Amino acid sequence: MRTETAPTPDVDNLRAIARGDESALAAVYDQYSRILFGMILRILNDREEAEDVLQEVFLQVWRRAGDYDETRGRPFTWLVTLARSRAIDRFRALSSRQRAANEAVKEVSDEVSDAAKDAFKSEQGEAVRGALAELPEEQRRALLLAYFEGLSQSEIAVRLGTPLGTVKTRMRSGLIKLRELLGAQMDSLR
Amino acid sequence: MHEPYIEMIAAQALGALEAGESRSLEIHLAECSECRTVHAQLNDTAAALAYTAGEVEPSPGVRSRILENIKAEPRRTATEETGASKQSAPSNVVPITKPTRSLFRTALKYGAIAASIILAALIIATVLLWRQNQRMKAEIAQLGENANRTQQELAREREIVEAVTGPDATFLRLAGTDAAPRARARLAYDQYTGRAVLFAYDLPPAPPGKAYQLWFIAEGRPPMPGRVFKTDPTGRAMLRDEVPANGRDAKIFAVTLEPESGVQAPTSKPYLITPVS
Repeated sequence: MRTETAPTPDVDNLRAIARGDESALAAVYDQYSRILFGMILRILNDREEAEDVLQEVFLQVWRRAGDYDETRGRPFTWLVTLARSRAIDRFRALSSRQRAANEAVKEVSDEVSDAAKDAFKSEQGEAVRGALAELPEEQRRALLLAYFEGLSQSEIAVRLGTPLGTVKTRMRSGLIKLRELLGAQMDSLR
Repeated sequence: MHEPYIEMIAAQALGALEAGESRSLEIHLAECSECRTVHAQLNDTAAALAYTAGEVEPSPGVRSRILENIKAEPRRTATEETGASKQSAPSNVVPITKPTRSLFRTALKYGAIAASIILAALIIATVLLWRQNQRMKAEIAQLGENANRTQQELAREREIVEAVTGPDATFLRLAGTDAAPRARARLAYDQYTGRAVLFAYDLPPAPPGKAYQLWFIAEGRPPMPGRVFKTDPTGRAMLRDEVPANGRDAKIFAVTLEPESGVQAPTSKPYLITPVS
């Protein structure tokens, strides 16, 4: 649905937000709140917590839009990175009991949590899932553990019982392979 | 060359880089445009993982709450914003500068401490060396003095030996008289140089205020006074003397007991005397 949208309007929106344009923030929200919320929910597996974090994320966007640096990635990347790190922070802050409960649920379904079962599976989502499925199992696992569980490389090494060097190689190879597989589609992924 | 950084870039894009490594990666990225490009690409790729979670519609209330909240936030003006965003980039550099500066201060501080320690050590070493030097000087002076004394003693001994062993040396025996029946002595005498050495044995100890005195007696003249001497606790004595030129024809030598300062003419009978020829 938003496949034809060029990245330039996103950059413009962030600049407008930096200047204090509320409607620009509303536009960014309308465009990205669902994908960001889906990811936050995937990490936290708790709707209430996820909505709270989403609110925090957009408050941060409002305050820090001026920090966006085009040379470090697209606006979408900046938004996702911000949302992910907020969600991981919240995830870590949650009580260990709650975390344990949430992790138990995640073990059942590695790709889509129960809380996100009503997620809208977009074209982009299908494309990324397709590319991810082509990666060797151990590479895919390393990427997902890092990205959605916020584990560091050494924590992943411990979790998987794999040497740290192997984890590093898997992450690098996996991410580079994913980039190759997505190839031309990257532009449509914002 | 960039390989270890590519690994770090991938890890950072996935949010899995160890805290310690992200610092060195940032430093490298600041100076390597090639890696910056890879960094941006892999960040975009990692962000695409968000799609795998699927899109979920948040509650309608979230949007209105956010828009309400931002109205309450004080807003920077466009010009302030430009200034702020310009500052935000170098703000990444600040942590590099700070530790460098504090490192410099730390280095200065520790440098100063090290310098004080070295200075203190030098002072202590100097004092120790100075003391050692003083001690050595004192020892050298002592040794010099000893050497002098030894040399003088040696010279004296040599004189004695020469007096006794010279080609013109004469040996005379002195016998004890009734005053000292067990006493005896030998006299080495060179009548050309006038050197004389007396070796006395078993003389009774001289009473306080008294000493023995040697006499040179030539025929038809009053005895000429020689030196005074005292014996050691075993009754022995050695005396070196020089006979005046006008007494070198003396044939008789005697020892009397006199006041310790010596007298010009004998006041007592001899204790030792050469046999009258």
